[in-house]
Amino acid sequence: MNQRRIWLADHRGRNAVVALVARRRDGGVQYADAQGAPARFCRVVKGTEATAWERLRTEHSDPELIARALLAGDPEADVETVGRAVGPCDRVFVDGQGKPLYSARPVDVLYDADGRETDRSEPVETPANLVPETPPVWSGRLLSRDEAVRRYAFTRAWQVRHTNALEHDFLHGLAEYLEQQNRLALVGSGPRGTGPLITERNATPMKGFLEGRTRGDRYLLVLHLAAFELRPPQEAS
Amino acid sequence: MAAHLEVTYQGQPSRFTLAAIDRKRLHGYTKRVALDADGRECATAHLTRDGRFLLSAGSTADLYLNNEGDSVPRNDLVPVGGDGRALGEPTPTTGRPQEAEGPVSVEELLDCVVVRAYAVTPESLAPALQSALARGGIFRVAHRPRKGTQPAVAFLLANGHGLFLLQAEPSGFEFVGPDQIAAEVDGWADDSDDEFDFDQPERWDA
Repeated sequence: MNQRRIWLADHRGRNAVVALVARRRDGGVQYADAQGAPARFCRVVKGTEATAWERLRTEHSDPELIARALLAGDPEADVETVGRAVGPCDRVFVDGQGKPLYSARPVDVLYDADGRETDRSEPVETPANLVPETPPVWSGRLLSRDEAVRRYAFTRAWQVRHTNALEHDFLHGLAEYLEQQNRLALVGSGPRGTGPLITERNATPMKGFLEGRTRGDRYLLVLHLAAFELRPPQEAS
Repeated sequence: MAAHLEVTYQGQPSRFTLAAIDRKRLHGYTKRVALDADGRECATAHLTRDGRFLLSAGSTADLYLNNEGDSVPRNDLVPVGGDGRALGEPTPTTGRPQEAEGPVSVEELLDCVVVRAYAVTPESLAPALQSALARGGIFRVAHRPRKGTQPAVAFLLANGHGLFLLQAEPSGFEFVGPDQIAAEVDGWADDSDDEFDFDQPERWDA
């Protein structure tokens, strides 16, 4: 069991670590066959590295020899294996001969918007920063709802929720303030609270905005996250 | 082939060309690769947990099986909801003019999460829709590029850079009161599409 959390500051200089709840999705679409009986998804083995084309090419080299081997013994099909359910797997790296590597050197390759490689660098691990080591700062930057939805593509949203009465008081007050202002508040990292949010290790940096609404003692506080601005590709930097 | 959107507003038709936009297309991206001892880029494969099979790209197939264990052809699959009732798969909206509804409130868009964004170039733009967009109107348009069970909600809006269509899904958040404590949950619905999160161990849990 886990629960994603964020350390939030508010306009009154208070702060608290509160819960983030992901949006609900409809129970997931399932499938049935034409008679209405349930159909379940299954990933099965078609072939292994032992029956792969690369292995055949390495062993027989000449296409004529490969053809003869196919006629003679069906080396491309392992009847004991084909059709077996795959089951749980782990990802491994393989070399040019298809053999697993026990150590590999990771490198970050940078591509531009046209998909051209521009640089290579040593990987840098970027930690998540939703709960920083030092207390967060209220950015004080408010953006009208209208400007926000026209400027950013909000591709993620989490509901900010309380886990006790004190947090409820804190979050309700924040939602009420944002509702009165009729604006979204920029929520970010760094000394001014305006830096990008990184929701998990090495994740895409995103801009975060809080939206608040209230109904009596109930509130709705949503953290909207945007990975990019709305502009045509040719205008982007 | 470019995708198109055809809408009618106050009886006047408009037609647009759609160009998908995302962070990769706007700013580029970083991909983490592994090099072997000779500096050659390594491919990835999947190793079954029992260590018996090494499965490279293209060595698996995805199937749907019925209760008897027979494969069900894709064309015979019927989507059903949690209660077992057939959901039906609405046809794509492509090629059929859709009514632009609105202007709608900003809150209606904020109640959704954008799942796809398109830069929109008008091939023909009706004067009424053009002026409404220029005044800041946001319009709801049915947009389903392919057959599927997902809702076909999209929003058409303008900013200083041009016109955009945002395909969206309702986020479904509800107001909470003092007694509605957030419960702990397993997993996160929104974590599946992080295009830069390369360091997560990839696993198939059957």
